[in-house]
Amino acid sequence: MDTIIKETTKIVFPFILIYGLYIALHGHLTPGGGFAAGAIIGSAFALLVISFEKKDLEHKLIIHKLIDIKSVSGLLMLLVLSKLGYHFRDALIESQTIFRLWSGGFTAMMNIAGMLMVATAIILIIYSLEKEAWR
Amino acid sequence: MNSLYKSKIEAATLLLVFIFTVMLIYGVGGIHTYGDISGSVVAEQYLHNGSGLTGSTNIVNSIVWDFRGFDTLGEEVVFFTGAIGVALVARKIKNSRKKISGRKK
Repeated sequence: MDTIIKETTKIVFPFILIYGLYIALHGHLTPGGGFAAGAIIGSAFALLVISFEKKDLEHKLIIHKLIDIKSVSGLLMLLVLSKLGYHFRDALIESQTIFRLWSGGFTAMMNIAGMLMVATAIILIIYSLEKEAWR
Repeated sequence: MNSLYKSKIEAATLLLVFIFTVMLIYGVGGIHTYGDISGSVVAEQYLHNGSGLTGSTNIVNSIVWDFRGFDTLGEEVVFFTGAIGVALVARKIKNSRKKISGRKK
């Protein structure tokens, strides 16, 4: 791709990641949530894959090696396991004050787990299709 | 014989469509008007006690991730299964092209 697109991507990429994390962490206070945050983070990696080539990415990003069916399917277990913590929620909510960042109890945890799930699913799709194109 | 069978199926289809139309119209008549939650126990519970029960002030998020959390878990599993399916179709198989060309010979 163009040099302009490459340099812009280098600047913008971490800010998109931080914005996605913000949407997930404030999911129980402001509009947004796990699905939206995962889509934002996945779109950041889509921008990265589109603007750079394979030789630029492969030795710099650890996620390029981590994205694999074997390692990623463990994240599916994370969401299932986080659902098993359902009976802690009453004690958690009683200890928190509403409208603070540290509130929301079970909803906040599920937002973060859902963000991880959706982001990895989108990154898995993008990288596997891109591997097919690079081959 | 064949035309008789056809006309019986057509009559049965018409009857089924008529029955379902009457049931749908009857069902739509029972829905509340837009914005009126009086009489709906679940909607009142969500709106009045939602933030107190879940601790989150975003009511939509509390419904999606807490009250109906298992439904959302199922949605995530479906989404993830789709992603794994894409990765399985597009994965790299070792020496796949050689084997295919070898079979042709």
